[in-house]
Amino acid sequence: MFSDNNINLISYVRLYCLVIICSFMTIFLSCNTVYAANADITFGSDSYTANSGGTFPIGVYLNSNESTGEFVVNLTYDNKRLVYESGASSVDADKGIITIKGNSINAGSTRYWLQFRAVSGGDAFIKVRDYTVKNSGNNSNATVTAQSKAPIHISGNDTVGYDVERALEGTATNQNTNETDYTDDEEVDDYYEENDESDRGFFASIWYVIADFMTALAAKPVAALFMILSLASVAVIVFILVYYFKNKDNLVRDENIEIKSNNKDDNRNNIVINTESLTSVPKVVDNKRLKDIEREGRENLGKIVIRIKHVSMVYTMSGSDASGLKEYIIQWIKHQVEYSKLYALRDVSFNVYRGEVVGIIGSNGSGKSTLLKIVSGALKPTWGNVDVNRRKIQILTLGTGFDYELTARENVYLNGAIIGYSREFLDSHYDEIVKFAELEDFMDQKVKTFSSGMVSRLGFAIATAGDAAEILILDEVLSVGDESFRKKSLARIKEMIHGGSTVLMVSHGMQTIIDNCTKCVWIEKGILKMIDEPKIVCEAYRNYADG
Amino acid sequence: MSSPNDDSITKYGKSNCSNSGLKNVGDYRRRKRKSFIKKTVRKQRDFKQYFFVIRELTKREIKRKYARSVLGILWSVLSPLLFMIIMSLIFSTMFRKNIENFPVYYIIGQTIWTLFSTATNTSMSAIVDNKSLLIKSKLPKQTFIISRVYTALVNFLYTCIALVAVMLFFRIQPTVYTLLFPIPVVLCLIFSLGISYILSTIYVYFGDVKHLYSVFLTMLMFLSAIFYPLESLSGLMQRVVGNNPVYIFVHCARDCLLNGVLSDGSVWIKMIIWSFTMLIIGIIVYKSKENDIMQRL
Repeated sequence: MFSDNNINLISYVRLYCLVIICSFMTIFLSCNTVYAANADITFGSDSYTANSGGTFPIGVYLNSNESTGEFVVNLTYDNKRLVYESGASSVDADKGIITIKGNSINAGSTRYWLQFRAVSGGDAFIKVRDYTVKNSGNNSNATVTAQSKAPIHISGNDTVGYDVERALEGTATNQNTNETDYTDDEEVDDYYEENDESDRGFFASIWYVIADFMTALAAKPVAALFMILSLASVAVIVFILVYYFKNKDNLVRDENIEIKSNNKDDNRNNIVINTESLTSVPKVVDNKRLKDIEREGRENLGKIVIRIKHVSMVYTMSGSDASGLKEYIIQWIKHQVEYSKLYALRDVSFNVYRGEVVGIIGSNGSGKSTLLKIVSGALKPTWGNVDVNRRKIQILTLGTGFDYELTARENVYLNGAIIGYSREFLDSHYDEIVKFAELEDFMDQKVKTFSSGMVSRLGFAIATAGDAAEILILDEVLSVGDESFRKKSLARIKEMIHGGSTVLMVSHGMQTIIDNCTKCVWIEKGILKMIDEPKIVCEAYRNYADG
Repeated sequence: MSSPNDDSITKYGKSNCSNSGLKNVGDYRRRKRKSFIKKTVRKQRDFKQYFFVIRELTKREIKRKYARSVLGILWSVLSPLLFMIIMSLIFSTMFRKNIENFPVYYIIGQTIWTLFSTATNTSMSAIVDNKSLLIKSKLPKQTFIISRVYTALVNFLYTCIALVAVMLFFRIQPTVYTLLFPIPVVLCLIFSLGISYILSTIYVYFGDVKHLYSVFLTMLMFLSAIFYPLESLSGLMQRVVGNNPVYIFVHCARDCLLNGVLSDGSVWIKMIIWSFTMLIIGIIVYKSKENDIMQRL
């Protein structure tokens, strides 16, 4: 696993984390090995016999393997048949509760003699009600086991009668039960235990659940192993999560990083671009010319609708995408997960004014679609930001978002809902959409039977159905469909522009850009190369592409 | 949909507002109140839209699931019934002593289990499957996860028809506690949602999780005491199963419907802790990776 030499400090840290987590799990699973006193509370014998009217002692033994801190033990007894005489710290004869308490139990066995007098014949009992034993030196609870109950058979005349029930009423907190015919001893026991549960309180009962679970685990190591296995699978998942929490830091820590930033939020001035790698694509934005265009836009059209400010986008591709989970974990421990960094956009900024039609051109993979995604809010830029009212954006991309198993009608509703149309809107505009897409006869057919032209027509019709889409983003849409539909869609777009819409479009068709746009942006390899009138930019782009 | 009165960029909107508003305080206040109303209306509209999307997505899921079947959604009612018959034939004699109404006992466990397993299993791929819609949508991305869980709930409601039928057939007397049945169901749903968040996040990075999880689900099913009584297990396994969240939901549902008793306090505590802890963990995991996920798609 660690055959390579280039294991660095971080891999040791990670290995260390792994060991820590494993050891935590071991401690968690074998929790009885935790340092704590073990104590038990027993009676001198399992059962007692006595004569009515006579006195007799009951020995209560507190055994501990080491000395403990403070302790309190509450015992309940049958206060109808027995009268407590001496031996304990305090007594509540009305409720039948005897309390033994002290500052410590010494290691070994400590005996308390409790003197009782029997006043009636019959079957009585003494029982450990509850107990707390602290460990010495700290406030944690020691582990205590207790013999819960010892029966006392008293010979002689039973003046109380067989009425454990009444005895219970004296000892238990007033919990009424409808099942009055307890004849079985076990059932009485159950009753007690239930009562104890209710005495424990909220947090204590949670603790008992956990403690019970722990003791059960510790009791059977083989079965605990099985538990470890299932927990280990959980741990694997936790690992991956921990890793991804750290992922962000890796981005800055990495040596190969080209853009450095001290503050992710406001880093406009801190961006340093490694110019060496950019020499192939020099930046040719003419600032003076840009200012002219800006001023022109402001005068003619008014407000800024989209403000793109120093946007940079870095994709971090993990090299281990193809390999499995196991290898990933190993690589993670060795700190060898490779990231290839892809600079989709580098420091792009420009403004779009209301009513403008901005075309974005550039060769494949130059970051045009990424820019559109950032503007629409689907992606967050690595650096920089975009000011835009995202509620008003309508994105139109080709054929995406259609479910080919559904009918066209269902797709209209599904897509419309996701784009942001309400049900009422869709109901009232449905016919219009169908008419525009020229698919009247096909609406109840599955979309998978459609041709790509039909799909894009439907997509266009849905996306442009809203009359108030103020910002329209078109990703390679205008260059598809047959000639008549293209004309129709162009007319629709122009109509929208006329109605005050702002359009941001990506296209490879130079003619479409020149015909329709008022401004053109050329992005090449993530760098903003040029902003100008469409004709000028397209000319330059053509020259670049040819040369 | 957008309204033309909104200012396109908040910054500009603010400056306009202060210029005119400073002259007249009343006007400024009126404007503020107006924008407050606008905001509330918008929120309501957003919520409505949100639910509309979830319903549309759910419709799609159900249509897709039963795309080629004649009986369609009826299968949601039939399949638990068929399972019940088979399991009853095999196991009812085995556990005759412990379980009075084995078919009812089984079908309650089965429906809750199906709710959990379908919710988590289907929503695992929610983000990856809806890649193209995610980019278009202006709604929060977890809508897609929630819609899958909601689909499981709709399916569950259909299986409840089978459940009610079986209960009527075996003449199970309804009690006051029957009314509590939705509580374990809702908590189970919250628990599933938390798991779904985690799974769908991991699934973007590792396709392996799908296979791993199916194995895990099988293990969990056998540990949920769906077709055997908890008492038939020995000490440790009884405790393992007793702390299995799915079993706890099932157990509580059985208490409500079959046994007609109020579950112990510890059961309620465990249910609440499991479900909400899982939801919080899920949301944290998902939120921390949200942007990264979008980059990868």
